[in-house]
Amino acid sequence: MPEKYSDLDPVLNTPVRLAIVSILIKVKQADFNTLMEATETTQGNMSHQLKRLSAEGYINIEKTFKGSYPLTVCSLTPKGRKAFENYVEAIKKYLHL
Amino acid sequence: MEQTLSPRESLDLIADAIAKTREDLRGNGFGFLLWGWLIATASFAFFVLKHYTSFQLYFIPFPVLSSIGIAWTAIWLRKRTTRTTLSYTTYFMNKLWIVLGVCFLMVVFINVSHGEMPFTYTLIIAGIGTLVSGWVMKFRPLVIGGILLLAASIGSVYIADEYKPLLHGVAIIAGYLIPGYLLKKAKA
Repeated sequence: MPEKYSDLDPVLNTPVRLAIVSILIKVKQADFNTLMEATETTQGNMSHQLKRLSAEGYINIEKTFKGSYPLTVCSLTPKGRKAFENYVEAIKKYLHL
Repeated sequence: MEQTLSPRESLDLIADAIAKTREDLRGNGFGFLLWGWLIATASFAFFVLKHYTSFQLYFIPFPVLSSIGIAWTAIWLRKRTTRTTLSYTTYFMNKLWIVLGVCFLMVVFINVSHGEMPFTYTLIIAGIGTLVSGWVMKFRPLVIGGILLLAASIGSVYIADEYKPLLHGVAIIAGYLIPGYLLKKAKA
């Protein structure tokens, strides 16, 4: 299966990263807990996937504080938005939509 | 190796993630309640001081309560926009109300400088913000409230100057404060 869809963006073609970017398309910014609950993943995996998306330049990560607790806020970059649009176009072609 | 997705799985996942990202608009009710109470109180206090007393600074409730509102709103917006999930709707509404707030102060300044009552124009500003907010949030009580405020601004043209602050206070309660409470109680 991976070979068959090798032209799909490998950064987005995994469940958690695609879900994160899909959520960030709809909002201006989202905090770590919102993303973790929405994607039903673990804290460790969420951190790992956010780092990967950030390293690719798809999202911005801002670390701040809420009271005395650390808070991570994420938003989509123009590069991430473009990559998502290209990804959606690619899967639409596969599905003949 | 990471799990990858087929195009059908991807499409389903995207649709599911977007559908689940529902915005809780009830948080927007705070601004309506805060400003509704402050402006309505200032309007009635203005009317009472001017109509029933000889107090020279009868207009003072507006600058005092507006200053409190500006400080409170600035703190609230700062907490809200930098530290949590923020939808485009809420982001747009925050900017809209900041601009309208500045316009409100300008209108008051210009009218007071000319020795005129500003209430007809402040009702228009409140009506614009409330009506646009209602349409953007698809919340009918705010749409009705916005129309009511705009209608009140027209109505204010036909009443004596001394009763304009009274109309202003009533219109703010009916068109702004009550929809604000309904928004707070609305389902997410």
